[in-house]
Amino acid sequence: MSLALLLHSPRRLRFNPTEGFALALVVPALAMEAMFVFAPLVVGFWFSLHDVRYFNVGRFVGWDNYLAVLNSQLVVNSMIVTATFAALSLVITFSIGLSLALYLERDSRSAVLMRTIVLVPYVVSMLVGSLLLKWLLSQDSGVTQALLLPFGVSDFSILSDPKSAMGALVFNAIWRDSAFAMILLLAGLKSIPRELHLAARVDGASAWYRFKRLTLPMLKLPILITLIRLLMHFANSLTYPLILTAGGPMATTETTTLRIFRLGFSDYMLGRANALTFLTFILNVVLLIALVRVFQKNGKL
Amino acid sequence: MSDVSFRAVTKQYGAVTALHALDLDIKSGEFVSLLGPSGSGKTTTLNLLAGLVEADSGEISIGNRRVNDLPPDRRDIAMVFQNYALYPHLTVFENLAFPLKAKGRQFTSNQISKKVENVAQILGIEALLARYPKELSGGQQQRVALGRGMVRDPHVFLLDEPLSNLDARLRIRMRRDIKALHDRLGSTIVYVTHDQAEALTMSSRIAVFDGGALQQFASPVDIYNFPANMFVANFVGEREINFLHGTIADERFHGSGVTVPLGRSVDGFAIAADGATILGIRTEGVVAGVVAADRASAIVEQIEMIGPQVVLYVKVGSESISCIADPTIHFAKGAAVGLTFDLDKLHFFDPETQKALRKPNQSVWLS
Amino acid sequence: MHYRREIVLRKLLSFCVNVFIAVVALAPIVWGLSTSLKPTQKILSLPPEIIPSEITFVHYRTLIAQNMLTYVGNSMIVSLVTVMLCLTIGTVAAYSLSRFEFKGRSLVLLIIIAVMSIPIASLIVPSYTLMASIGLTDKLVGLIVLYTAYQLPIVIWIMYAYIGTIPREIDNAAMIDGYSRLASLRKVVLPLCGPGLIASGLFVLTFAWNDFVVAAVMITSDSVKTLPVAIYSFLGYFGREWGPLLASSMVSIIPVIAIFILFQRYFLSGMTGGSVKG
Repeated sequence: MSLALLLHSPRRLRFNPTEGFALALVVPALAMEAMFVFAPLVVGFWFSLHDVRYFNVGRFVGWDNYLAVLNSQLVVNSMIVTATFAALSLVITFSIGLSLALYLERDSRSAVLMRTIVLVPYVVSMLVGSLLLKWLLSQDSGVTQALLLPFGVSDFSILSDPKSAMGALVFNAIWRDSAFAMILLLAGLKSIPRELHLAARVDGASAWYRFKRLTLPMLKLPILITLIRLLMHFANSLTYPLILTAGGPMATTETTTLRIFRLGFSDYMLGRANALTFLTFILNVVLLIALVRVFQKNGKL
Repeated sequence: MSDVSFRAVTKQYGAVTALHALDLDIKSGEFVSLLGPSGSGKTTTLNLLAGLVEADSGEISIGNRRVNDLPPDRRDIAMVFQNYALYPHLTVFENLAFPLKAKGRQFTSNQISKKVENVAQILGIEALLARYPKELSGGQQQRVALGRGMVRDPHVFLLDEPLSNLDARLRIRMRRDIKALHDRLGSTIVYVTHDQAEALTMSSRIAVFDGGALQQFASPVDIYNFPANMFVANFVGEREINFLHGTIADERFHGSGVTVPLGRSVDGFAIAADGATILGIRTEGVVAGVVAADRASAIVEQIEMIGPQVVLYVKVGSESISCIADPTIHFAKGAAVGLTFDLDKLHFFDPETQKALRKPNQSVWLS
Repeated sequence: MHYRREIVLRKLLSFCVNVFIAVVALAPIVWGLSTSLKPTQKILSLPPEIIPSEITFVHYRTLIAQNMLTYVGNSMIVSLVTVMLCLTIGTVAAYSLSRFEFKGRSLVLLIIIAVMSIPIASLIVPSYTLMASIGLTDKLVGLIVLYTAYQLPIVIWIMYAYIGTIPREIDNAAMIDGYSRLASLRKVVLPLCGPGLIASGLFVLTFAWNDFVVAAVMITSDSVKTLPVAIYSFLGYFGREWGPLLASSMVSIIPVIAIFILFQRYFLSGMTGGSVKG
């Protein structure tokens, strides 16, 4: 019976050389992803379900690592820190990015130069960027003192006060990533046909009306993409808090990713570090879906 | 002897049948146009012949050699693409030399230069050899694309709507040039177009496609004068053909609001028992003239001056038809005119099958 | 002539805004550069000097004594090899995705998008776990394969978009002209991919050169430290000795800024993950 079927559909079973060639070209890339992205995730998940001391995978403990992590005061604190940091940074960075994009939209010579200037903090490595800000904001450099002196503040360390340290962290994010938001939004702005704006002007629409009724609706997808990329970036920030504030003072700027980093590479609790990684991962996905939902509610994308 | 042949070739894309059981024989040295609207299967036919897509079933051969399993580079064909597909990073000379430098073709650089210069001279592009494609006008790019095909003396020359990106005047001039080129080279040409005028002016034979099936394969004269079905009749020709629904009885065609006396010209047609027929007549088969008010049968709705003639759109009963008139006579909208049907230019179609009704002695065949 | 005054005012206002933006964006970098060129005793002096009254390269010389050349060399090796791997593997994959229909094609595209949206920070612990168990930590090759795996999706994405802009007829023409698939990829498609290759190459280059998080986790031995890891350990080693610390920072960022200014157009297209205009 099956043999008869085989004989009846020779075309379907014949190896298609073009298809084989096409697959051969993507296999190296897939192999890299499988070995160094997906395999780690599998191994990491395996670790998260076991009692791990350094690299000795002990007995299977089920969700114990996850429960332990969720019961940890430090982890809960880090989640609150991350939420605060991400929310503040997202709102401000996006607003500044959008303002910059609108302000520098025209291709005049000064606008092009300004775009280059605001992008410099973005191309510089995050490590060095945070290091430079750390130097600028440290008491050693004397810059903040010089700036704060007129306000009658003489001995204040920005990085050792919980509130101002969080402020500094958010400033770091804004300083580096506003230009990134600007570029993504600028690409969106440029793809709006000029004729639409011209037509709206001919129809007598004011600048504000055109922004509200033309630019924003047509920018919906670029805005969503920008928000997603910024949110993922801020919700998983490691370098900023590690370098600028080292999570301090008193863990008030210790983000979840920094907590994972310390769990893994200071405490060598790889089981828990992996567990927290996957918890964060799931939170990321939930956040993403929520964001997309909000956008879908406000009309079709 | 047939040079290119398709035997029951079928191609599907998913659930869509792009080409259904095509049989086609092209003789050596023929200029064959594949004519049809988009999605009719003409481009699929060309791509199958070029080897750019694989046939699901059937057999394709070039010069008596089965080519189904040969990749394009081993089919001994040349092709000119709609957008020319010139290599933007190569000069005109390098573009023309490109096919000669392919693996397995042993030409010395001297031979290559000679062949390239020869082709450039035939096409009148010697002065452009050092330029890059983007520095050329549309017409010049077109010539380079043709030259790149010619330089190899291919067995079959495939052209995929090569004139569609040119402006109207240049297109008409290039038609002549391509035809002259064919006369000079004598190679087999398969030419895809959706422009019926191009197909009529250049081809030795035209294959009309619709809905993935070959509708008719005949000389331009036969295609125009003896369309095999309503589709061919309507697709070929500058304007849409007039179709009038009615019946034939007493040597007359009775349509809605119009009666055409047919005399003996209707003899021998295989008309259905109830006499139901569709009468097809091209614009130039109906002449409008000024007649006495009581003999007028049509009302003028639109007037189009096209140069040598005037085309009138007139209302006859409930039907609207196009006809020609003497341009020296002034017609006004709403005027009543009389119509004369040229009996030699009438076509009759079966309303059921949409196929042409043929006289027994007519040799035109349905593919 | 009312509107004339308005134009002048507008210009003045936008000039002031521009200066403000430029100062905020560049001040930390300029301040770091200026500090790295000051003698140690002047660095902590109050009030701070913005333009150093005395320029010295002593901190840069200190760096050389601290193995700086090894770190720079390591960073260069890792960056260049990563770029080459990414471009080779990525371009052929992008070509295949752009030119062929095959079973699993949409799955491959899905995988690419999925990996692009996984934050690297959430990969480091699992990656460390795996790399340690197969003995690839503390090796340059370990960094190279990880960077390649992380950056391949974006390279494929950029090249996929770019090859999509090259008409298919061009490769069809080459095949009809007598070239095989592979030969037409090499002779026709690849030479036309220049801008896409530059854009994605620069993207990978800056990533690999700048990366600190992955390298900090994977690398411990001094001989295989890349520049950012070295800077991070200087942070502990020099403590509040800002001179050498900032000098090493400058060594790290000046090449990137220079390349960015030279190839700005390609940078932008890499960031937006697609088409290169012009």
